[in-house]
Amino acid sequence: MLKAIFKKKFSSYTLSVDLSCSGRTALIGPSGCGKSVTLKCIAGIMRPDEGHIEYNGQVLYDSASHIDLPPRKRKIGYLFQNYALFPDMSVRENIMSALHWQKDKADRGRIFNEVVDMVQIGHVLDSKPGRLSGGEAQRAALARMIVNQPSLMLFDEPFSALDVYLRSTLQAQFIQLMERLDKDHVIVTHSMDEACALSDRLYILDQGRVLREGGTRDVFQDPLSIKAAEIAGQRNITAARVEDGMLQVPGWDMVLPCTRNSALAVAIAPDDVLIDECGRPGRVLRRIGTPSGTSLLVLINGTSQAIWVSAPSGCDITQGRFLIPRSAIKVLTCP
Amino acid sequence: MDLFPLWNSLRIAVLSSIIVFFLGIGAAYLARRLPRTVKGVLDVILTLPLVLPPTVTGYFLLMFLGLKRPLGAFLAEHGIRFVMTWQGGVIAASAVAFPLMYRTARGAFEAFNWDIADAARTLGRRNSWIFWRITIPGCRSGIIAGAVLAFARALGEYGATSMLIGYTPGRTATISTTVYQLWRTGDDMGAFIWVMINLAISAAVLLAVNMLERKQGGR
Repeated sequence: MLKAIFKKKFSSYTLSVDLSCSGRTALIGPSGCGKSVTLKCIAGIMRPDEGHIEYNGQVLYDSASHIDLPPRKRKIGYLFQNYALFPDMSVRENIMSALHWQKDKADRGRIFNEVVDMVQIGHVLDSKPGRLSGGEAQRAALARMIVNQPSLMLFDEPFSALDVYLRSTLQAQFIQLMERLDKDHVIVTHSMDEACALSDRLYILDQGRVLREGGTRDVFQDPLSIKAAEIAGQRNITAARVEDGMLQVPGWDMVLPCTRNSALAVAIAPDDVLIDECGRPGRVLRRIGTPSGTSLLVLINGTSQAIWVSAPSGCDITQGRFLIPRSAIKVLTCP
Repeated sequence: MDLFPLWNSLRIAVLSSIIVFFLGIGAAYLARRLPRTVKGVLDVILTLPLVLPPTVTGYFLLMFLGLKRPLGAFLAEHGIRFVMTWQGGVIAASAVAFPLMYRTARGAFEAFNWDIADAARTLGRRNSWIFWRITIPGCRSGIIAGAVLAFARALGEYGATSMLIGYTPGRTATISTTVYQLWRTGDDMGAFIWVMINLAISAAVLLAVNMLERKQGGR
């Protein structure tokens, strides 16, 4: 269990973090929100101004009792965004450099071979990092981290330096690898898709503070605030208000019963909007087709704000009937 | 032909380059971690000899190391003299060449990707291993450039050297002070020969460094 409660001041914002997690965790947020700094403080690469960080009962940092373990004593692995391989060493030397803790030569060789097989990096062992592809560099850095046998692993946007076409393949390999290693990890990402695929618990950060935390699916389904909904990738957000116990959604021409006292906006996932005969007529303003599906931008008759709708791959309708299920609408009560 | 100035210049340049190499790298490495204002002040102080006339640097050295000054007198009591000795030439050349090594090494450290060093820290490596195996090799181009500039500057140093150790044939004469002395006394051919010797050494050093860099680039 990782517990991290700390503050760190910067010129433009103060990072104020309160994390308590184990298993697969993701931190998501816009650039400069403090995600990477949070990881660096946990790893000991950066020092918070005040607070307390512990992992599985071992105190890593505590400002009150002046405890600040150096990174080398924390047993926390860190995969950098740019992988940070040692440029003057071959992949083999990079991996061996992290095996210094194992004094027995035979055991060193055994661990090396096991991990090299596990991450499938055997074909580039004698190459220098400058000659590796993005995927190979990522696997080399992973191998180097794994042989060091960290108890907690931190990943700083591990897929952002990769070509888009490589990402889904490497994500699948990554998930398999993590299942096999079965270690706690925290991943920082910009992408809600990545967060959904790679974590069970999610923290949404903005301007140095945690906006929303919870199970990944729960946070995505019910982000509570407009900002969190935007960061979570909700594409359909429109203004709303509560009047006489009813939720008024003028942009979508809807009035719903509401149990809340106030609301600023509502959101609905494109997957939740149905193409259904029971719905209201609307016309398709734009169609974006991808191999995995089609996104339709639809203006429902009588409404003023268009809405994104997910449709099956190859769908080419220009008009139809669209239903916004009341139960799928998420009420956002904070900015 | 008396080759003492060649030998004296070479030993002064080599020794001062070694001193400046370690001091410059050390100062640049430490300066990186200092708060911005402190670093700014330190930068000015450490870089001053680069912009001051060498004779002014020599003047300050005499102020500290002159035999009638407290430090100079103290050192002389313990048998260490820098005024009118070739060892003083090492001090003068070091003072003038230091900023070149410091500034170049600092630039190399600033351009270095520190994530690589941080990665090594998370892998359990000690700071000394990281410094010698990761940081220095990663900054080697800048460090080699700084060392070459410092050596060339030390080899050609005249102003501070002549202030501190003067010109005594067979004792303190260097190539540059010999060139001036020969030219002043009308021996144009003698001065020309020493100029050519200085040129040849500098060109050979630069050529060797270029070849070394090409070899490293091709690895």
